Amino acid sequence: MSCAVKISLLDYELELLPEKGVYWNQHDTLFVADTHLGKEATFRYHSIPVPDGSTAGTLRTITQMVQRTRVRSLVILGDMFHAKSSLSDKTHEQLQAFRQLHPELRIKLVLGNHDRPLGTLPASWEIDVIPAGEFADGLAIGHEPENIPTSAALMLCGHLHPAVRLTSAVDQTSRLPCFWWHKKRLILPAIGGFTGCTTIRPTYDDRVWVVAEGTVLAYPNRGSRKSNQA
Amino acid sequence: MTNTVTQSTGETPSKSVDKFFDSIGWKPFRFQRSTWRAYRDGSSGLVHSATGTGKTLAVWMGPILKWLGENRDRNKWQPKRPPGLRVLWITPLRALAGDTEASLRQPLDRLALPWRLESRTGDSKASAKARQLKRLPTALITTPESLSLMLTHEKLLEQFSQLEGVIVDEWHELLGTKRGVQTELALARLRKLNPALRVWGLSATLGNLEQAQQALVGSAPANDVRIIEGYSKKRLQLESIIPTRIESFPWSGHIGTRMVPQVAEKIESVNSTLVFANTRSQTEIWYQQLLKQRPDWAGSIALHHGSLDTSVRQWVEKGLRDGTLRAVVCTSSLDLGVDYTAVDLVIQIGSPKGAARLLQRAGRSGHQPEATSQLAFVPTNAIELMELAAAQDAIRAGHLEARPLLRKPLDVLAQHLVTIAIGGGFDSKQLLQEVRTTQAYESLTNIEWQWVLDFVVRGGASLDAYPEFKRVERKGDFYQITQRRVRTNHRMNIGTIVSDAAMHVKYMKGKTLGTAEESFLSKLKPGEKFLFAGRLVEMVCVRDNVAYVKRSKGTPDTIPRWMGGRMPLSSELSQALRHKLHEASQKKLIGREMKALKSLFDIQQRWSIIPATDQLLIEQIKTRTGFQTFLFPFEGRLVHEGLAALIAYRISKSQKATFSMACNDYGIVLQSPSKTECDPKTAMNWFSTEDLMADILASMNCTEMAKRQFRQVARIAGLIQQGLPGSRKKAKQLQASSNLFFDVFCEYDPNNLLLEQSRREVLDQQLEASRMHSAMERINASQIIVKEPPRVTPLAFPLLVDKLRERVSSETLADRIARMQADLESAAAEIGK
Repeated sequence: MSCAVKISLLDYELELLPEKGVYWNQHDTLFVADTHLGKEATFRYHSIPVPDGSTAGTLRTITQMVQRTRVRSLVILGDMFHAKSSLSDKTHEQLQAFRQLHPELRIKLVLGNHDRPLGTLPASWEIDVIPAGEFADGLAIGHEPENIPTSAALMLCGHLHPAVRLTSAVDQTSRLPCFWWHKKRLILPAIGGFTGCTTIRPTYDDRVWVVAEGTVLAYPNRGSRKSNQA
Repeated sequence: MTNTVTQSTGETPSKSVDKFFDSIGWKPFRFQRSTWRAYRDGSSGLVHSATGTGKTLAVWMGPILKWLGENRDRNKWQPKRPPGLRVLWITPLRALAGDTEASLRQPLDRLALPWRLESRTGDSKASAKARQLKRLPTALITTPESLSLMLTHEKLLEQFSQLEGVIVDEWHELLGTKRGVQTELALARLRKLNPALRVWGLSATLGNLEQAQQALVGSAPANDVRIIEGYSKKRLQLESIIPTRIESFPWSGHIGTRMVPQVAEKIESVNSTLVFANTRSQTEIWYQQLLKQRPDWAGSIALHHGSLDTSVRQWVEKGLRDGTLRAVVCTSSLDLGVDYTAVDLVIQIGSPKGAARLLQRAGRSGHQPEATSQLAFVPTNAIELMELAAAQDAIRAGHLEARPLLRKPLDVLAQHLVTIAIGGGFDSKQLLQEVRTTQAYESLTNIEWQWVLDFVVRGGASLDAYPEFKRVERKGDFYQITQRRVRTNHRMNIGTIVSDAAMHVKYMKGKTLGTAEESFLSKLKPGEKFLFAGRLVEMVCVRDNVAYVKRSKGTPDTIPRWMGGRMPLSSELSQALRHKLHEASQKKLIGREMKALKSLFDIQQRWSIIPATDQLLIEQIKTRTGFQTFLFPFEGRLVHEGLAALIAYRISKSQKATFSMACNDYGIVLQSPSKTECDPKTAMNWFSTEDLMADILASMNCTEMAKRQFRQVARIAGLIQQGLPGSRKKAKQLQASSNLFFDVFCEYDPNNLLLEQSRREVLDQQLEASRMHSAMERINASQIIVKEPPRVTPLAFPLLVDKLRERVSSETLADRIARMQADLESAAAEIGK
């Protein structure tokens, strides 16, 4: 597969996958952010008819990446579940099945703002809740891009659901989810099948890779030195 | 009341009414008397005429006369115990309820009738609403939304069954909209409760009065139905304010504020003027410019549009009624409503886009039946003069626009089913029968009905796709809602008006100025200045969904843009416009407006041609931003949007290409990075009717049209919960945009009929597929002329400056990004030189 992009940020060799995950070969780890599992169940619980399928789809996407990269550990950078009502019977079944599919996989979760009210997750899912902070070799992880440890050279995080629209004088694309390198942070796009996104305004020193049509493409940086973050 | 018309015991009702008319110095018109008679005889019907000709009294005196006939003995009247509910008055705007109440109250007071008259709208006090739930007044003024809300209260049904008549004011405004369909469904319900119910509508004159009448009374009226024409001999005087030097006139869509001095002069020449502009932003600009021109008018001119705070609007309306305001700059917010008798001139800025609308607006002046309506037209670009010339032709020929009706919108029906399920529940067979008596759902199939039932009961038709979902509970054929949470939620979200998330704009000291869209306000930085509610303010901060501002000095950095559709040129006016161009192509310039455009036509003729009615003009030219292909079908913006997507799609099928498109009422521009091959023969294929439907659907999927339309559908069907601006904390975990819903449905429930409905709405309403089809047939019979003019022509210029919106591409994203990258680099190199 050539649609992924290998990048080197401050000596960290990372691979940006078109399924919106980040693969760190050196530590045999896959990072994803903002899965928002069970979000459709929450909506239905509140009498808003949303079809089933996005949670299963999100888990399938993660499975694809896990199987292709053969990683030993998966790190979820927050907002794994959408709300308390997301943990429906169906969601339980789906998580159980996911666990059985990858019995050896170590799953780690940095709690996001949506996860914090949930309480303890079922032990049978074997999910280690780990604090935000340094992960390995000076690379930190977290959910919100704020609170980067002073010692960290780079932080992987989520929360923003970043997306950009590419514009030139003659053409403009629709909004495309993206990886955004901004002030020592690499912010991952939301992987959840039922999540929206926020349009970002990259600055001159940022780097952006968009995800579209099954590929990751470097985005021509148009930010001026003056413009600020959206 | 000082001036009570006393009725002696046993006096005939009609005598009392004559006395009443005497007391206000009027004489009943013939059409008013026939309306009263028809009402007495149990008929329903539609009264139509221009504004300000006594339609209100025509229908309102019907119920009064009937009651007087039944209660001749005045001694038995009991003002302390008013009669129960008899009449429901439906008004399309809740802002009008107050004025309507005042004008309906006048005859009640003069006749000293023991009736109770009240309003019930979103603005009413909670205490009044609670009291009304126990006992409704004799006559109640309400809106379609509030009426639907009342239907969720089971205990009101008994009182509704006593209802004698329903009067729908400004029916033309509701007709052909989802609010109109909502009204039709509510009327069907009321007719079910009382089969002898009289239903009367008041309407401006339309091209399809028969349909308007049928939609009002349903397909199986129990009584006679009449169409009554009101006083029609109103005189009308139209004139254009023509700029002195047309050459220096901007061709673009620029707001022609250079006409401000002439407009000020006009305003000066009369007592009271309404200045209509087409958008809220334009009203803000014109108001400022007029003040700049005449600083001494501060305080005597005002601004009125739908985003201003109610208190501001009410102050302006009062000023208009009292005749204390010299001029009010407004949007369609003042299209409706009671008579402002003081207004003696209407100024229309920019094209009214339809002959009926122009007529309606003109009718806002000279409000006495005998007076002459005066309208002055101010073009914002030169070509608009041609539109006015065309509109005058259409009015003269009586070619007024029809209001096309909506066909069975399932989102509105889904909302209605939940409403009825809360208000006591329903038997599905009986309700289906009832729903089918409305014109909108006459042809509703059993399958569609079943789908909507499934949708409200378990979320969708597919059995396993919506686990745990429960809204309406079902027992056999009986459907009901008992969950309190569902009930409250539905009541908060009833209605079919979709607005963007709005934020209140307030002074730091606390006074509310109005609302503006969140998307606009959230982009402002503190200190940025903008025009709002007629003043210059600067942003201080946004807190708790309120934008705080303070007065400011200097020049504005920006002007709020409110979303909201631009009106497309009507089909009737488009045709008249093509005819005007045809005349111009024959060197016949008839009328002041057309003569004023002579120099412009000369340039167009020199650089290209002026198309005759049997010609389609295509112009190709290279500009700084790429290759431009202009097409001029003159069919109105909506048809052009559809054609643009279709043509771009058809070209990109045969060659890898990316098109950006823009449309206006005259034509289309397709912009591409490389030249599009175009000769009359290839161009003819673009308009081929072969595989038309398939290609239209495919082109629609390339663009985001269906996605945009889904926004409204999702809101009405209850997918998106919409609180009032700033009124309550939004449930964070339930926020999702309609775009997201659209994507999720496409992926996981592609057969959902709501998706299907959005597509159909795009076809029927947005693209007006039937108009598109006839346009293509017309073009197929025309001669195609391709020109490569030396410069952008007068016809093409407005299109070029329009913002490009839709895109169709058959290239991969990687290719497009590579090209954009190259563009950027060459642009950078350009700067570096």
